[in-house]
Amino acid sequence: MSQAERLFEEVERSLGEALEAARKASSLEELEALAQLHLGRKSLLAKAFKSLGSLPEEERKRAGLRLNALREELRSELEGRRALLEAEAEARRITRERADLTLPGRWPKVGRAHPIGAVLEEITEFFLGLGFRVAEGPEVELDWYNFEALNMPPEHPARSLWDTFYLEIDPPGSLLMRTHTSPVQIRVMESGRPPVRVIAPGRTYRHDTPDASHSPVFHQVEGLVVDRSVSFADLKGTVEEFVRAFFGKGARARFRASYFPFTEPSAEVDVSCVACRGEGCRTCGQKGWLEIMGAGMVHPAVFEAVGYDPSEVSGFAFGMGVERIAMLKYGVDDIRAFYEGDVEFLERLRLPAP
Amino acid sequence: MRIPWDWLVEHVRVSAPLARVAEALTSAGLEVERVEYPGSSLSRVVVARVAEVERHPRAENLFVCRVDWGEGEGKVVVGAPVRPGQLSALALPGGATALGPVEAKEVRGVLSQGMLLAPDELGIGDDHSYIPELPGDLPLGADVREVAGVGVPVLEVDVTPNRPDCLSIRGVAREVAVLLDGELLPLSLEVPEGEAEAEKAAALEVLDSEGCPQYVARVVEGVGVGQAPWHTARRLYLVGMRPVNNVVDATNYVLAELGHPLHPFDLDRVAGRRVIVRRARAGETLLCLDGVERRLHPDDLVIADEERPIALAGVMGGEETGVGVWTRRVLLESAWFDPRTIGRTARRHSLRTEASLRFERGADPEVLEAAAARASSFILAWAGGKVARGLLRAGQPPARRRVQVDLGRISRLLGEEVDPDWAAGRLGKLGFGVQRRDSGLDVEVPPYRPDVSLEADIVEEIARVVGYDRLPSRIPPACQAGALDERGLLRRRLRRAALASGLDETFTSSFTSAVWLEQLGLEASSAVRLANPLSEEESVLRPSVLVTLLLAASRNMERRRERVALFELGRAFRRADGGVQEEEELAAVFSGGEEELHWDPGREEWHLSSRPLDLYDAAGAFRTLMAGLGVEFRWAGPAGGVFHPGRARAVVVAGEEAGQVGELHPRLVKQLGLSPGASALRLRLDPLLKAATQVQYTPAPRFPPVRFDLSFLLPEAVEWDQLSRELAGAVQGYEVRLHAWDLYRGPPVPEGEKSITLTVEAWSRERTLTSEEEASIRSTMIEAAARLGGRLRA
Repeated sequence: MSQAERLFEEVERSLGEALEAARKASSLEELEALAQLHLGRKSLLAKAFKSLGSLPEEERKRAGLRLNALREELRSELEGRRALLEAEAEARRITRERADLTLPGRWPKVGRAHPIGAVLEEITEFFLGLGFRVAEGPEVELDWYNFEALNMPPEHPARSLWDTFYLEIDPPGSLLMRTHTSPVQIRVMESGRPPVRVIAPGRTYRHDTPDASHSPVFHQVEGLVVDRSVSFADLKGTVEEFVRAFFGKGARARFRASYFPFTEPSAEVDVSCVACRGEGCRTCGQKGWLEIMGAGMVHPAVFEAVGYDPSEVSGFAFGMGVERIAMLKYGVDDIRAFYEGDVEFLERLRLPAP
Repeated sequence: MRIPWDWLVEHVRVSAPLARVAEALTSAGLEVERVEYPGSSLSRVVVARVAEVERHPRAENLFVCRVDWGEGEGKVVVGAPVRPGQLSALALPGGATALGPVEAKEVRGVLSQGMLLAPDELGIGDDHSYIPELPGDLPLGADVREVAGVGVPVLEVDVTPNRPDCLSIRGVAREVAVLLDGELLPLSLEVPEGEAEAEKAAALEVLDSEGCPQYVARVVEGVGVGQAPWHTARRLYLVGMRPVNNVVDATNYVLAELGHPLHPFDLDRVAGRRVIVRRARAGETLLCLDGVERRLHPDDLVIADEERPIALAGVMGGEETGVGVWTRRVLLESAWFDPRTIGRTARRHSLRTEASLRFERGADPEVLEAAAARASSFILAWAGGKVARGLLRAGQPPARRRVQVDLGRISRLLGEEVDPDWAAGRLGKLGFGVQRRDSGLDVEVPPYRPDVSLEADIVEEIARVVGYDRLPSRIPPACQAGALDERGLLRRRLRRAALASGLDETFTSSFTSAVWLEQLGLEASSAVRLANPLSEEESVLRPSVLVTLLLAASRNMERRRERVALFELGRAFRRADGGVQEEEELAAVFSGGEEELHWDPGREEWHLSSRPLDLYDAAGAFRTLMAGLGVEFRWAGPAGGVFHPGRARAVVVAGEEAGQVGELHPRLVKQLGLSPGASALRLRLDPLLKAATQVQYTPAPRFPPVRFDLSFLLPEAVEWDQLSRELAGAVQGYEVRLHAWDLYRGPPVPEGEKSITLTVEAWSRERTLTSEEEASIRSTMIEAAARLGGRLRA
């Protein structure tokens, strides 16, 4: 047996053993060591490849093929074994890994809506759907818009219904903080011709000592519809639809006669109590109804004040307190909480994002 | 107006129960706010006779009475004088008064076997001064609630200012009659007259017929002033008044019943027995019945005698001519005063009385004689005497108003056909005189309805009695599309962007104080003051929303809230050209800490830590807002005002300063208790509205960008905004985007310089950039930085 033949024999044997070892290997390190030992540069196999050159042509070819086959056989065995071991290790790791998803994660901090903002947007949204536009006016108003054009000339007794803040600006009494959003009615009609269909949301002011149900600063939403033949039925239908949309399908609206200088007939609108659904409870003072807005048909004197002809057009108007209906809707029991700016107040409400 | 049920049903025959009456009134505009049952908490309170009265042996002001209640007798101690023989309400031990339970107990050594009750203990009024005498014919031992009218329910009706007629039992009774098909019962107006003639007993002179268009007076002679009978006192208590004496009570009784204010003068104290109606003269004063001496204004209408004013017309009588036990002759005034005059006087003297309220809202000009007659007959009945024949009168009632009503228009306004006969019938019952005309009604308005002068008023009357709830309803047909205008859209976008950027929505008062503005270092002189603030703290209109928002932030910190990131959209006010300029703003404040999560998946470690909110939160939120609006802005100089001089900047939109962003002034931060580095932003809406927000698409590049980093050493003064503009502007033919990601000062960076590191992204639209192109962009940028005094950091 030549030296080469012995070498080849030894390679055959050692790779046979390596295959056996690879099949039994239980760690990646073991596989790595086997690869180093049997396929590395200093391995018998490498030596055998180098010795091929000394073999005669015929034999060299045959031996070369044989060596390659041996090498591939071991390589694929090692590879297969590695994949197997890795998969096993991965499976072990995954079964061990844990995370507590009930802990807070990373999430973009989104601001919390305020009930006034939310209610204003909800009301606006509803009336946009009914074809209303949104009108505005200044919070610092002239007596004309706040009172006189609304059929309350100076010394009109009804002025006492609205306790008013006046500004320290000359002449005294000329400028005031609007006591309601109704002046916007006048501004809208002064600046255009019928048909008019607007709401006017905004901040309003009353000279009221603050308590659980009074705030000197609050918000209202006014509504005004003027056209050729607008009727009390239109007012009722609009308000009833709003009440259902805002307070829920089961909510009912009730219209009572009332008095406002700028509407005739005038109505007070009640909604069936949100807490007891009309049975009578603490929220509604056993009445089963909650007052939510004032409304009525636009008074002819108001039309005259803005140059509309009351024999040609008719209209209705309504006004509601935003805080009041927010309090009813969300069960807030103290109006002052709206104006403290306490983030914890918002946290307790958790209103849905707009 | 408080309406005792027994009094009401004396005026109207109605079969409906009280609850139904209350409901009908509420629906028709006379809201019954509640129904009270004054005597409901009484128990074991019976009619008793005071048999004997003697002084308490050991107490000066107490009396010991032997009382007899039919079924038994006992001794009670009482603190007010009582008359032997009088009947009174006795609460027996084990029972209860309106103020609490009653037990037999020893009072200064004498066992009191019960209590004689004062009005407050009976639950009818807040008077504790005496023990009322019950009518002599009541059965002893009977429950006072049943026999003495103490248990009568009282309707509390909220009367709107347009309905002065319903500030009376009679007015409400009339409504009940119409609404519930009842019958208004006739009123007895008979007065037995004596021999003496009123015209001889007194004289009347009205000098101001504008202030007093009508004045009627009656004279009653030989009265004996004393206590009014029990049922009079009881009813006065129940409507919220206090009995005074039988003469004054007669006028108050008529006031409650008919709604017409009357005033009795002690005629013998009226100088010259002449009553003169005129305006007050400069310097005149009047001691009023409430004991207050008032300096009169020349606009005040007064009743005077030959020497001095003796009453503030329609508001309050004078002390010196008031009726008391000494009075023998009474002049009874029944007048009609100008509502505005009375309103002004009541406001001027801050003196609102039952009388001024009714005159100011408009009393019935035709009821004067009836009211005087009724009161005279009550005086006769309760105080005796004789009514002088005839009356003194000046002026006549005005003609009644007439209103023409077009039935077609009524139907159009109500949305439903109205049956003219039915309507005429109802109006008739309300006191309107109605005549049918071909297409409408000719309506005469009754004198007690000053609120009715137009067709619309008649429409309301009809709608009221139909019942609003029975009228039809429909949704008005469309006439236009509903849409927000530019400002509405802007406001909505801002609100949503602010919420999305993590800011909590806030609403704060529009009022603040001058002191607070000064503390903030803001000029208080341009702020607008209220003429009649509720308090000094809320006496000035906020010149910026930030002013009141900062206070809210401070309050949150006081309450140890963790993360205080607030915004408010609202209006700010400033003095301008003699008026007030109002402007909409968005303000935001950042204080406290923001929680950040660190999660190491390898070690399965989870850790939350808090970092302070700071100016980069403000800057970031600002960018989110502007991005949300699609508005271009430019940084400008220092912000000033409440901001840190070096760490806050003004921003410019559409060529105009649109707001400020940055850290708050450290002095302020400390003063407000905000967290160090607390920051804020303020944004005016007007410039944002002017800014064009056109959306213009440029196609997204299809080729990947090259990315490389540059690190520059720059003079301290060069800011990122300037650097990035310079670098981006220098590159031609490629699109570039720059991200700063590191700012560093300190060794080895020389003093007065800083290092900024950024990543450059560059694209071409045609191809992937070659390394030569990348190198060229790079060197262009290095040259650009050099123009700002920068150099590449080694």
